Amino acid sequence: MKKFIQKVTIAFILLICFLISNFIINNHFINNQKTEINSKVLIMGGSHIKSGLDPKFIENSKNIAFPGETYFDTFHKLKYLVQKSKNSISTVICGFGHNNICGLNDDKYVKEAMSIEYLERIYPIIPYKTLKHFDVNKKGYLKTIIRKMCLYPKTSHEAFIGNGFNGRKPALELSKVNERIKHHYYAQDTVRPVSERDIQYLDSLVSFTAKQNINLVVVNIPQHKEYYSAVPAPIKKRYQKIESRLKENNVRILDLLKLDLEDSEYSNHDHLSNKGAAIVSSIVSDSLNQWGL
Amino acid sequence: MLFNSFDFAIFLPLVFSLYWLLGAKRIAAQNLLLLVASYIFYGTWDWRFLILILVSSVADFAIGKFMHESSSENYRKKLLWLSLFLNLGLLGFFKYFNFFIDTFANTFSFFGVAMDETRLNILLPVGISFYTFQTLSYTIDIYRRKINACNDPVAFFAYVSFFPQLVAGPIERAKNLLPQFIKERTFNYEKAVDGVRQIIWGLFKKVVIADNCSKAVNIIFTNYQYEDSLTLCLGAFLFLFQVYCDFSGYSDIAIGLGRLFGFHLRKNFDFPFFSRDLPEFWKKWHISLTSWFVDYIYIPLGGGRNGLNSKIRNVLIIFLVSGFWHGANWTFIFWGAFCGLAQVPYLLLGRNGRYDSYIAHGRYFPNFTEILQILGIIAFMSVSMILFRSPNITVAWSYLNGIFRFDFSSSIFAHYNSVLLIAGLLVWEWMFRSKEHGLEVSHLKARIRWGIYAIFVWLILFNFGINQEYIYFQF
Repeated sequence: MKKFIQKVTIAFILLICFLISNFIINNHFINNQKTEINSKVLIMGGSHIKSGLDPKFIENSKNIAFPGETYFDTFHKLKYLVQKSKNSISTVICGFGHNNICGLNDDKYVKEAMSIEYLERIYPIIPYKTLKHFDVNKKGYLKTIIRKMCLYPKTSHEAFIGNGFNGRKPALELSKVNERIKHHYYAQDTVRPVSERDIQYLDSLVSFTAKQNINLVVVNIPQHKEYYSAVPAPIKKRYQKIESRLKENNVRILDLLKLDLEDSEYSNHDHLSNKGAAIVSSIVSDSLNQWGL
Repeated sequence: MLFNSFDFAIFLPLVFSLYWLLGAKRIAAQNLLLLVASYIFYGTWDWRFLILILVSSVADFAIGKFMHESSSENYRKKLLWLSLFLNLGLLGFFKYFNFFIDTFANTFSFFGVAMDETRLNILLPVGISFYTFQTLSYTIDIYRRKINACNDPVAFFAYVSFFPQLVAGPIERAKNLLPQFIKERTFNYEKAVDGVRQIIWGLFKKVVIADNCSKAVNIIFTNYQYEDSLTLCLGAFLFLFQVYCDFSGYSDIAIGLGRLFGFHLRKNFDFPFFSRDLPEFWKKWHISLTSWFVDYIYIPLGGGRNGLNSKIRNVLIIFLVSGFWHGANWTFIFWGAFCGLAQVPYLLLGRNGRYDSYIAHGRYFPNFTEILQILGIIAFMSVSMILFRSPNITVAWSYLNGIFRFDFSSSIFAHYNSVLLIAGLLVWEWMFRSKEHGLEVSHLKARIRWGIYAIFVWLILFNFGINQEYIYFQF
């Protein structure tokens, strides 16, 4: 028995040493990684803006949106990039749709399957001391840290940046509107409450950009009229309130929500196709020029 | 509480330390600890499940005792029927109630009679099929005078709920496991070390292979209408290995855990894909369930004693029952029928799957015939798995039709990593096919052994993501 315990303990200690040494090395890499963001205009947000704004239409811009990205993520991502990019960022274009404030966002760090995916993105930019204040899958966080930081030295920890504009094919299926609406706004046939955390982080984003002299432009990417009309009333009401508050804070809002587009310009009810993205990107580009940004 | 979770990583060392601190001489205290630990383990799913296992344990303990003490055959038979009624009644209610209601309603509506369907919102207790069969074997064996009734309620309750094999087997017989709860268990270094190896091997199969396959399988089976023929074939093939690695991985962990506590649990999988025919395959796949059906259904029905026709009938019956045991769905019954019918040609040819030695004994590589046999078994079982995975017969049928569309695209390459993992697994298992499990490396030099452990542990941690439930928990 003594021999068994000795051997198991030695194996366990060796394993812990291995994990800790990798953690230290990776922590060093994270603190010293050189992030290449040379663009003056950053396009940030979730999948709507990722597939809705093509940076080739907008001068000196880069689309770093990530599907499912919440304002909580965007705020920390921007904070990190501002520190790394030596103040080269002049404008941030951020997505602002009904789905950005929906309660589904709160589940993203809680539910087992989803939380692993999200935690794997943000572990280098959101420290545990921030995460612990929210409802977060803590065991999932530990697993993420073990998998991403403790198993081998990894020089790049920048999966959170995303891999650019993602053009989509037109594939709108009108019958699927309820599927999309349910996914975003309902939990077991009742409307989810909005994500107070994300609304709070949108405010943080506004004050942070103001402090850093970065122009913040919020864009609501067009939604198909069937989708728009099916968005639950409490969500719409709260959304309008937030929109008014943003205006009061002199945030530039480009409201394209009800822009009249053809079905082929949508990939589904709430995402644009390549064709739709080209139209919307041109409008955004013109608006930026008008505003002198 | 899943074996592949942080909770279990804390639970196990705690129970292990307390168990051996009590000392091997204090059997009753050790049994009590195992009982409490097992109830905590089981209660983490849902504390209400504990009521069922308690009812089952109390009833069978009492029935066993009365049966053993009685000399009246008539009374003993009545007690046996009571045990069967209770155990199968609970299983039937919790697992099959809604299935029977649906089937009756559908049958009546077929004849134009509309029935008011009253479905119950019943939660299926995890592992009920496993411990029900375990307690049934106890009362049946007492009835057959093969074993004596247990006089120690704590030992008996611990036997029914023994946490390593409670929720997904191996289904232990009272004759094998119960005496181990009565006698002193000593700590054996070699066995404990091998137990740890087997746990690592089980975790590897579950976390690295089964969970990786499950991602591809979910995509393919969800979008089966849009996938090409080759991808559909791949989906069935990957699901076969997902089931194998998931379930045999669980069994390996259970057996390894048993060894840590001084118990010997029976082997449940014996490298089944390295078989020469289907009868041999079924002797190596889910051994504890197959042998349960043989002992308690096939032999009482007459086995092969009354000629070939009755043998074929009995084999078909156990395959149908086996299918139904897996789940309350027609897909499982068809799966059982499909596998049972495939046995008929072998029965007609008098092939029973018994061989003197394992495949390619004394050789490093299989010959051409053996390769074809192995591939044939994998292909057959992959097809059968379409029924196993599909939510209903219509989906299974369209999936099969999709395979016979014979259209091909390059989407199959999206899942190459799972295929590579399975290829690696087959090569590794081939090398260890004569051993107890795939990580029985005691014959290798210490440095090589520790190198192998390090690689396996690293791979487990690397793939340690979402806590995936074991497939067999639902059965």
